[in-house]
Amino acid sequence: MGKKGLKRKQKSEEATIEETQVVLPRVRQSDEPIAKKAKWINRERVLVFATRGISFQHRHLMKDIIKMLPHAKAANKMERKENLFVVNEMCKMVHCNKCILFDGRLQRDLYMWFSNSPNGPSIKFNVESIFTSAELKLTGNCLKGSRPILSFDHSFDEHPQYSLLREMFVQIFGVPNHHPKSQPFVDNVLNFSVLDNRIWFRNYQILDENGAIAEIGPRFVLQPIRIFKGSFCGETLWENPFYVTPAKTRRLLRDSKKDKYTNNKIQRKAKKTKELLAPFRVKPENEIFKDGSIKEKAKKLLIRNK
Amino acid sequence: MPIIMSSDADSEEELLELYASGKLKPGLNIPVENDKVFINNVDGLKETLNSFQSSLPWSERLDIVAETAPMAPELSMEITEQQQFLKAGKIDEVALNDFKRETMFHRQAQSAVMRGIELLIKHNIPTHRPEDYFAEMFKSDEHMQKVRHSLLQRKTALEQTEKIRRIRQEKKLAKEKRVAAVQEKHKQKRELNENIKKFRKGLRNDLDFLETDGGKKNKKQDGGNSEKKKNLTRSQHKRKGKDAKYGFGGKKRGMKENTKESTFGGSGKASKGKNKGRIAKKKRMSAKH
Repeated sequence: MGKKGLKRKQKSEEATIEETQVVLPRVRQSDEPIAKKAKWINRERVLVFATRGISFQHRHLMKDIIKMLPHAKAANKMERKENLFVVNEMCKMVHCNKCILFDGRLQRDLYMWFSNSPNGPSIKFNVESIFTSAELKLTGNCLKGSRPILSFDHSFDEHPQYSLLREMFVQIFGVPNHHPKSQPFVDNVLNFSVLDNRIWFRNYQILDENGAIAEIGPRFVLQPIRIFKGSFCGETLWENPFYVTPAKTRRLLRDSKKDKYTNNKIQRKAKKTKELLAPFRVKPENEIFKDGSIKEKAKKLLIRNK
Repeated sequence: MPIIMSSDADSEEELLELYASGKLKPGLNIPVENDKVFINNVDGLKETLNSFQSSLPWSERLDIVAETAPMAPELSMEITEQQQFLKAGKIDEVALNDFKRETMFHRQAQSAVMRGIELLIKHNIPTHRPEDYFAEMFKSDEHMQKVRHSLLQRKTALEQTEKIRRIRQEKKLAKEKRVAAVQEKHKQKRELNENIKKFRKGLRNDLDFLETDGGKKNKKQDGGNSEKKKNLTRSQHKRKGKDAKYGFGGKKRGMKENTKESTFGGSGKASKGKNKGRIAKKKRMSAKH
């Protein structure tokens, strides 16, 4: 038995030796470059640009985002007349596979498009309560182009539309490892949380490893409107039922204030006429005069009191 | 009652038919539009998510689904309150309250950091920037200077308001003291007068009250003077010096009139004149003898 076991052992050893030995070519050209092991695997590139009609604040926000993303590429402002489908070709020309488009209207409302070009999906957001990092006097600061940790709320796992958004955010805001313009240290957190059917964006600096953080800025809130299957095209996969257009909210606000004065006037007048017409109604003790004969009521009261 | 009509529902025949069948009633009829159906294609969403999901390892993605981090026990009450609000659907309660909202985000980020750093260490990704590593920052030095300046300004403003409040309080106290002192003075005077009256009427034989009160008064005044000197403000000091120099109070009348001294030519000469006078008298006396 012992001999057999030994033989088997020898065989297996031989086999491993054969496997480990790499057979090198006999002749090697000195000019031949050594094959490099690529470290920079994630080749995301994001095109960040705007249409005409964005305000200064929107532009500053865009600048902030470009600053945050070393893999971002800026472009000139786009004419609003053009069909948005053109954006796909623009992305193709500058070799970008992701796109953030700032779509401003009348220098007042801002919409943001996040798109995976050219195959989709694409998402349209309404951007609310914008505070750029220059506006906010916050104490935090981080390296330009450092890789952020992306922190997501629980709702990003629970709802299918949000999980799709999460993947989009990871691919757009995640800075590729070993990107030439990026820094090797992780020193900030991008925080996405869902509250009130909106996505709240915050940027924090990591102060130490125990979880002390300081906010850097910018701040903004994304309200998703629609998710399209294609990039700036295709069928709608999801629609936000809670979305109200900014124009409508403005109108409602105006309408609520519109009738304040006249309503007040009418109410006052009504009150006065009521008092004049039926003064006994105003005081509760005068109920005795309301209707029916006073004598009978008085008798009744007397009997009850007895 | 909502009635679903075809596009040419306004045609009279159809309306008549509807009226005959009892679906349409006399009066003003308003067509009710159906509620808008919002698209939510869950299968489509999942399919597209699969189509573009990246298969890169975590070290490339750095994403974390984080729960809100626990906080100090004194704040935990508030947190449970927040969660209750969220569960009860009172989202505005949290969304519109800046402090509550921001603490929620802050805690989420904190827990993400705590978990993220563990994972980063596992993946051999450096988290701490060495002291001698200098690179361009997200916010420029100029902006950070502004931040520091604004912080300092806020701090000084706070200090100033605090100081003003303190001074106001001190003034209030000083006034109370002053009033109390005046009242004390009046009281002593009253007592003294009463005692004097009693003495006059013969109800009292000793005059001790005079001494004690007088002694107290003098002492008090002395103390008061020295204190007053110390507590003089700058303008009061100036006034004092000017009073010493130019004079204060007394008769203004006749100040410009000639006096005996002025006629003999100033203070120095006046003394000489006086001496002369005396000498002249002596001479006169000696001449008599």
